[in-house]
Amino acid sequence: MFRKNYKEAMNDIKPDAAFVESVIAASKKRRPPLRARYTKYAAAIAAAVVVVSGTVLTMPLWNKIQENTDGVISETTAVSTAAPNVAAAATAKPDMSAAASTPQPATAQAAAATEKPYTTSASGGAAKSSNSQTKPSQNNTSFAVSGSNLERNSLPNVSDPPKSEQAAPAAEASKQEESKDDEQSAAQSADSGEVQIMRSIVMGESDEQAKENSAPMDMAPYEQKAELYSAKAAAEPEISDADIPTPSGYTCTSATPRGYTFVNDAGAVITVSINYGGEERAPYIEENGDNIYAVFTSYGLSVTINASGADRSSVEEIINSLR
Amino acid sequence: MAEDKLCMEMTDEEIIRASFDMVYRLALSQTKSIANAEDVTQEVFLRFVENRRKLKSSEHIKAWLIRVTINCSKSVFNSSWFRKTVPLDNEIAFDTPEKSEVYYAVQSLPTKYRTVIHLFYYEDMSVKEISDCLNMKDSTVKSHLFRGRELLKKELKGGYDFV
Repeated sequence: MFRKNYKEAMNDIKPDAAFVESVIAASKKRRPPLRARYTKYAAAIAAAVVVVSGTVLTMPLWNKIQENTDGVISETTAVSTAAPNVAAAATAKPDMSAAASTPQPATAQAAAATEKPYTTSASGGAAKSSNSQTKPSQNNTSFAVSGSNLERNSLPNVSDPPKSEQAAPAAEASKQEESKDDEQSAAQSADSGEVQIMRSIVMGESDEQAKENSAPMDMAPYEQKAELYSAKAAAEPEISDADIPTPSGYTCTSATPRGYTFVNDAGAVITVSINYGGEERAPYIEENGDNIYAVFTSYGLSVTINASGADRSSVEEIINSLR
Repeated sequence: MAEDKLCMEMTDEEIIRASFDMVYRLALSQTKSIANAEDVTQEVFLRFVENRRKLKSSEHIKAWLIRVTINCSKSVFNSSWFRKTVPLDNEIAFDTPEKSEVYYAVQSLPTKYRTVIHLFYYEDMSVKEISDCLNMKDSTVKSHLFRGRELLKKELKGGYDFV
């Protein structure tokens, strides 16, 4: 009874026809959500797949290119900025084996080498070709350096005329051995000269800067470090230059760059220690019984003298010799 | 299966027309306001268009529409607009006093009992179907039905059997 009446009551309630149509129209306007339409993203997904696959496929090629150009000035840079002769050398660079097998353009260095009577022999030429094959950097230098550059680099081994030109034939064999070494060292120094030139061209450095900054490309890191330290030390006074004359009546038992030890027959010992010092300082001498202590700074070197059983005059003699 | 196939072959418009009354009446029983019922109905069918692909069968569609209608009706009650406004009294007139008495007796019930009574007596859903649709236990549905009937008995002053 309740069910029947309730159903009849609810069935009497009918929505407005206009409202029904408006809802249907609104639902027609409402589209499915964009995320459901995967076709819209198909182009973007395809493009992404193409880019990723292309990158993966070309990765070995890029690695190969990077390996080839690692540590070498690129061809394009050399061609665009370098002088014609250097550009030609740079274009001939990449294929080292081809460069070794094909005839190379004659240069001043090659001409200088061939002018020498002791380098025109077959063995000398063979040695040179073997050098060029084993060391690509040396190979490059044979045609990259012009005559003017050679002069600027001042390579004494190449430009200096051989003094043994008039020597006896017996001594010629030994000279040929030396000439091989000379050529090798000349090639190495010419190599550094080429690097200087390339640096000056590419980086826009002056010749002086290029020479300062240049370092052999085949130099190990520890060798470069050692060269740096030696350059630093060259700017400071050389301790080994402080040559101390032996005082009269004494003999030198130990002589190192940083210290000397003098001993006389009576058993007196004078020890001289030399270090890098600062400002000039007048000698200070202190006597304490048999022991004499003296210190002073001269020419940037700090000198400390300890004498045991020695005369003051001997100590003063050392001081005067150093000042 | 045949009905399901038929339902799945129906267009959105056909499904909306077929289930429009059900949704509208359920919304009206929930909100007790024609204006709110219309808003809820429109919202329900817009959601239906968006989620049409997820619905697999006619039963699924019916259960989904009932569930969404109840949720949208609750959201109307929770909206700040509903809390700050008072709906107009738009009483519905029936041709017989029995219909009117029964209808307004049901409308006077609390929402939780009204929903169960409506689904059980108008939509002819079983306790199991109601419990599945409302995500309730069967015992809860039965207790709501029992309490709703008790309230209706008091309201209608006897004379109706709640079979």
